[in-house]
Amino acid sequence: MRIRLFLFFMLCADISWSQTFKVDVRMIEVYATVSDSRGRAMTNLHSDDFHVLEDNRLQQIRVFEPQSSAMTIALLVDTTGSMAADLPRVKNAVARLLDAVKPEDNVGLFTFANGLNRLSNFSTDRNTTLKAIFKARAAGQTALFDSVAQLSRQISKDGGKKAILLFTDGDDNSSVLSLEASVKSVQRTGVPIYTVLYGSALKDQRLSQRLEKISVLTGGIPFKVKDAGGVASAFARVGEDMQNMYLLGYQSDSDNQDDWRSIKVTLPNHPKLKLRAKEGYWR
Amino acid sequence: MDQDGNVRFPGSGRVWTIANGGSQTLAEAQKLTKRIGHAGSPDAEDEILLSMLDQKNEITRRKVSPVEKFLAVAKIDAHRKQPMDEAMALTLSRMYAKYRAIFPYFAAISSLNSDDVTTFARAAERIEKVDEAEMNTVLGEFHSLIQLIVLLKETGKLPDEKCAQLFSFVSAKFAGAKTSVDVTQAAFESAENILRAAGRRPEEDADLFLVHAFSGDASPQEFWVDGTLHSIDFSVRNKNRMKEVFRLQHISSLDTLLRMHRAAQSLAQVSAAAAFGRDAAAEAAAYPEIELNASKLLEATDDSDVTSSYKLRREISAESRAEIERTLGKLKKQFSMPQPSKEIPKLAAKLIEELNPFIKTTLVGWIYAFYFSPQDLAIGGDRYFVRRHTFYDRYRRQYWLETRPATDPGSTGNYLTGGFAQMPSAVGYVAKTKLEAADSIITSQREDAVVTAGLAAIRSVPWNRVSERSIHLAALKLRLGREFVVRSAFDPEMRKELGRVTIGLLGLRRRFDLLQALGASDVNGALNQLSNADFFFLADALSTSPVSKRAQSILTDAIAHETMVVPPHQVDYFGGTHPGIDGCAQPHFTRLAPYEEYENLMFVDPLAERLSDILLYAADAADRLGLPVQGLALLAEPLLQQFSLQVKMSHNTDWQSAIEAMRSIDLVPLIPVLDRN
Repeated sequence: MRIRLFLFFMLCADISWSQTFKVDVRMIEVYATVSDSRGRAMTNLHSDDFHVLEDNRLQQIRVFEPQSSAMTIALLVDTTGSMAADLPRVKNAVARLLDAVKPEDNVGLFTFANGLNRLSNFSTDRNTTLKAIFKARAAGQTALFDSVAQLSRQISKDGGKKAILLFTDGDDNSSVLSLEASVKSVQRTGVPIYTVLYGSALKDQRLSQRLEKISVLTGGIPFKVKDAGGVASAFARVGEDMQNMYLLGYQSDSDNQDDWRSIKVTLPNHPKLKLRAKEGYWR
Repeated sequence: MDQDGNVRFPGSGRVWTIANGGSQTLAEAQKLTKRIGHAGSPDAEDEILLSMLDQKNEITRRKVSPVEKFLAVAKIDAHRKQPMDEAMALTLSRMYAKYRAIFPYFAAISSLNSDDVTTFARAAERIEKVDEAEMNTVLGEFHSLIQLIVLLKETGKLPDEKCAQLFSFVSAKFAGAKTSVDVTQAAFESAENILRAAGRRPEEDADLFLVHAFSGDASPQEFWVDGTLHSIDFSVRNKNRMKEVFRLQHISSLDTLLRMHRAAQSLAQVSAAAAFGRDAAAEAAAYPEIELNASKLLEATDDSDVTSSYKLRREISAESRAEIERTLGKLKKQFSMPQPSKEIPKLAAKLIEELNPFIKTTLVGWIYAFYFSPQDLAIGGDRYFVRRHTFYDRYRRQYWLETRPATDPGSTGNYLTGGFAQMPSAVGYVAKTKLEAADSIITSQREDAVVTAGLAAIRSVPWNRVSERSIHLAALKLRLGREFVVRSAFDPEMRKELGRVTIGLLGLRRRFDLLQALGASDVNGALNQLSNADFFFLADALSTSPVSKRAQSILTDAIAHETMVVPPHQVDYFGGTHPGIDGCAQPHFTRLAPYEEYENLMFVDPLAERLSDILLYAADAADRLGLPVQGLALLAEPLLQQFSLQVKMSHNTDWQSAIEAMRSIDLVPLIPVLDRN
């Protein structure tokens, strides 16, 4: 979790006035997934193996956790007009998925059609999320690429291991962003997108390829689920995948006034390993 | 029509007796111009109009009616201070079929004459012959330079007459360009000339100058609203906004490019200088200047893992720092030789040519920086958005297109196509989606056109030019319009006058309902029939009507007082943009047909443009709240978002619901936005 520490030093002299110094020190969290050339997760790395650079300056890693338990999951459900037939089944699938989520995991529910909508805030209260999903109605066009870019940006501001689980049945037809621009935006935030193709969408080859691209390039996994039971097993796989993330924390003392601060994580001693991490953060 | 109800023919009536035929070439137009003197003018204007109705010319597989041409030229004429001459009217009528998409440029610069338009046509004909590989670059430069002139006029940096001269200068430069180097020179020299005319000092940084020109002086303002003190400086925010657009889109600085070009040009003269015994070494001192600035050039690079389209890759690869560095390496080698070499001017010319894609991106970037925000998803989420702009239709060989958002076949994601003549409308479409979902303006398809037109109107306002009291003047005029209606309920003579001035302002049914309500002293019923634009024009009509003395009040005195200190055109900024129905993309009020006239048209855009005056409602609300212009500028888009959430149109022509939602907009809940960084 990103921690904003406000350190107040009260210098109290024996005279009648005092002066306050305010120092803003931020703990920046970076989650990194490392795999070998065959795509197998590498779980035996140490803090010294990683280099973290912010705006090209090497940072000192203060927090290192090879594994962490709690996750923040954004469920993103397509509620466009084309989902009218499949939406009831997706709602049931989401209900199944909520059963499979660990009690300590935070789940937020979002839908998209012409734009992104938040149906429920991130919480561990499954009933709230469940009630929210059953209120969703299908209408409008599909701004899929815009929605994933906006959602990844939104949740990247909060701390914790994060992932987006996307349920959709239809191809994008109204986004401002292209698939490539959207993927690039998500890559910058380091939030993996796990896509779930469900129902009639399984027959759409182009959509299948596009979702696969989104998943693979953002570090998630594409799933093709035939029935509601498959959703739970897919989610179990998501949880397993997220377990293999390294948490790297450092204190940023950058005085860069730009909104965007770039981060680069490298493994200087393991050049053949593939590393996935966010490319920066918004101040 | 003029005040006596006669048709005002642009040029003269006789021009329109010969302004038919399908030829589009400049030579044909010039031949016809010589015939104007011999053309007889039919006595009756009806005869001319009827003869136009009888004809239709097929041009580029599209039937163009002379009436269509006549209306387009008449719209330009209506924006001019001086009526256009016969030659200009005829030239424009001949250009219509091919160049109608860029006619708003001619409306924006009202001092253009027939020579300027002819020079423009020569430039256009020359550009159409440019090599396919360079077409997008050259069109991008040309459109950007023309639009830069228009924007500098809008922001108060160039007087209209100067704009016309610069328009002609740019056109002449492109018309005379024979080689790729000439085209690049034309772009650089035009940019230098425009900035100089706008007041840039020789050593002043070109980017800082433009940022300042588009945003005005920094002027922090403190004001109380709703019991809270707020402090904002819209100018500073505007400057940061533009810089951020440049940063996000990886666009090279204009100043860097201008410096490189100047230095390269002096290098191109080294050999000639040596031949005339001048100090070639001094000229060669330009080399370090080029080397220094070359290191500052920015180029967008394609990602290895996220593949882009072929078209985009071509645009990106056109800007090549590597090529420039190679040429610089060769130049350096030449300078290490004891004698100036003949190769130096050739290499300098090559360097100038290599700068062409960079200057195009930078000039286009400045137009985008004026209209877009880094908070727009297209800008913040797609770093190639500016470079994606496609200025012509390669497959149909159409070079002069309206500005529109487009999507590649089989793909998604928007980019803009065409020139910049309708830029606000295209921006309005794309900029509804923001980086943050919560800030996005999401609508259903029914309301989309109206919201897009509203955003276009907001984005086209040069806020640094809007004077503090313009809000108050607009609000006073609205009050006077309402007062006219209220007094008409109790004063038969004023009611009669109201009946007269609402002819052509309101649809027949609405006018009938209005007068019925007034006859029954139903004031609320009468007021509900009218929009703020209606009140605005009623106030104008009242001030020139025979009953104006009867309407004398504190309100009319206040308006008289305000108009002494606020130029009347200041309220134009709240009038919306009407590129389609009025042929002009700059925000202003214009007496348009009633809403009812647009509701049965095939496309919804004309009605949406008619409803684009949301800022008039915003100004009214701001005046009641005591909000200064800077505050209104900051709250305009959140207010449009509020409108989009409130409006419930039953279908996309349900203008009554749109007006009702505009009436209910409320600035108070948006006040916290003022303190948001």
